[in-house]
Amino acid sequence: MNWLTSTDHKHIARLYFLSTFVFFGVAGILAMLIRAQLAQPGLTLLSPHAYDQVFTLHGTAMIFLFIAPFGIGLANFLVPLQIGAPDMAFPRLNATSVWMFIFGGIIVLAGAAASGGGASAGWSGYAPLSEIEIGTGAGQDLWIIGLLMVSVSTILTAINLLVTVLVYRAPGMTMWRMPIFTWEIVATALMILMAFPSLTAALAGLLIDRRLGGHLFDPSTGGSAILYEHLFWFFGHPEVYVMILPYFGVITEVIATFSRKPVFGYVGLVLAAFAIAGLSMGVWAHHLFTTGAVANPFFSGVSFLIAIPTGIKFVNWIGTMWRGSLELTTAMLFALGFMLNFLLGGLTGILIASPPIDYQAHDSYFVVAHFHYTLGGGSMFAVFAAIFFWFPKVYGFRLSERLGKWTFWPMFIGFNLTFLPMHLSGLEGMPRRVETYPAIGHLPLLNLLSSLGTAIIASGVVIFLVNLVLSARARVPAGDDPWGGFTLEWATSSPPPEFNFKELPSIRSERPAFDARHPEIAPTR
Amino acid sequence: MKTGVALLASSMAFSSVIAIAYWLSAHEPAGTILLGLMAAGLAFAAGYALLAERGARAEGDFQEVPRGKFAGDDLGVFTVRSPWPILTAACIALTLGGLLWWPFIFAVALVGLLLCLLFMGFESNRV
Repeated sequence: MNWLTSTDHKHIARLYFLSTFVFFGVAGILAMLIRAQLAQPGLTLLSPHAYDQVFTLHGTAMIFLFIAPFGIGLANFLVPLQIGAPDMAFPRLNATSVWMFIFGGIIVLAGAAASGGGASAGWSGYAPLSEIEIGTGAGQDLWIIGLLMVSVSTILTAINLLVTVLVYRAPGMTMWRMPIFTWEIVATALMILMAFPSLTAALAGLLIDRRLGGHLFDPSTGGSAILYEHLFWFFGHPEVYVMILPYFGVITEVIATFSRKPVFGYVGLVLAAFAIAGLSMGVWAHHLFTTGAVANPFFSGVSFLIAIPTGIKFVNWIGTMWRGSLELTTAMLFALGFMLNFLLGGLTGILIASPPIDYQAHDSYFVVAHFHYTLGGGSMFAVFAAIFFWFPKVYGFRLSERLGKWTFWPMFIGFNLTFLPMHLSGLEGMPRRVETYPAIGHLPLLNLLSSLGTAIIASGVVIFLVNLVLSARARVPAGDDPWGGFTLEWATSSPPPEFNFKELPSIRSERPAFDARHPEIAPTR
Repeated sequence: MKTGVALLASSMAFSSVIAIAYWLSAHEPAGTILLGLMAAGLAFAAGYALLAERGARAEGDFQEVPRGKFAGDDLGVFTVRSPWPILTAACIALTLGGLLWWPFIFAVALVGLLLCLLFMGFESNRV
């Protein structure tokens, strides 16, 4: 029963890890169903309506229930440790948030079993499609209720994280000595506070329209569908960065540790994070270019600008590795995989930030490829980098490095085999969210390659699960600091004790754990 | 605290600029209101930090800390266990579900939610 009532941030983080991985499993199985349906033209494994439900739940689960909340879980575990705090500022609020998230996630998925089927209007739930009754019965309502809970839970966690960082830093841990991961979480928390209320409002409006006779978003009764799109994407695009910034932090920590060098351009990385956060609040309507109802030049210009701070981060990562003593651990391999995949996703993002190109690529598989390269090849690879890096600290024992590398390669090869061809199928005109396609041009071959790639990714995930089981049986003790880490979490036991530290080391730089191990070269003031 | 205030103030300034730029280039009310609300929220946070927390200095703001200077300082009590968070979350779920389908469950869950919040408040006052 302890885990039901614990308010310790580390227990809560473990709840996030477990629940997000269960949701990831569901979303992954749905992805395989999608790819099985599309392996050949004209297959009837899924009916059109079932296909709508499958891609809706796949997107919803991956975005709302896996990638973003895994970052929240990681922040829950790491932020208090990295700043030398005994816990989060509001432990009960923290526990309330995680349970709201878990119940919300279960409600979203339970919608699939509702009469009339699950939600089927896509992960963005566009009105008026999500307001009509045809095929969208109680499942769509449960989708809204579940996401309302997830949304409020995320806002509460953001408040908690921000207060923790501003108030509970240990003596000597000035803000300019905080690890980059913690800085990225500060930027993420600010974005959540600005963006998520808009989602909450959009979902509440949808619920009012569907169940209480409102007409907010239904154009046939004087409402505005474009208003829903504004509200949704005012959340939706910052959400993309909510799913990226924590992982930028992960990658920075992993690369610095396994390059055996301090982070190159610490201040630049922090400022770039805030530049990305700020700019990302002003790009939402690039998702609405083709409506013809928004100021395309404004949103295009701001979208292009985001490439600059993102490029700065790449320079910093390469600078950190430059002439470093690189150690290709599993975490480092995933970090390098992240860099390659995210770079490609970022470059195609610059392309579709241009309205004339977006008009061609919109709602095609080119866009599907783009966002999977940023969130799948980017964030998901960073999730695995984080797991292999911090698992010993969280659970006290190591994962097998050999099986870890066997996880990385199928995932990397499978990922690129799945999503690289989608650029071409998109350019050949294949629309997204349609359950079949004509047997013309290269579409059958490209889709077959994508489906094979998904199976290869799945094999990597299976090897990871085997690794978990075997490592849990072997329980090779991790030690306090298995990697020679720099930040404060490596200066306590694995797993950390209640209230995190028996004794804090002196904090005189952004690498206190390193300083404690090497007092001969540590700053003296 | 200085860095925190600077962070909020610069975010507010950026939001204000982008809200104005958006209105001038788009003349579109929905986005302008959203950006304006964002700027107003940040202005409140920055203003609060500037005025109410003026002169406040957290332990983490000290650059140079002689070892042991803050040893034994009271950071408040961090509770390690409470049944109310999970019950609160369950009541929220039932309240929302009940609102749509089961008025009786809605009423019971709403009362339960208020009680949970009340008990959590009492507990928070004790530890």
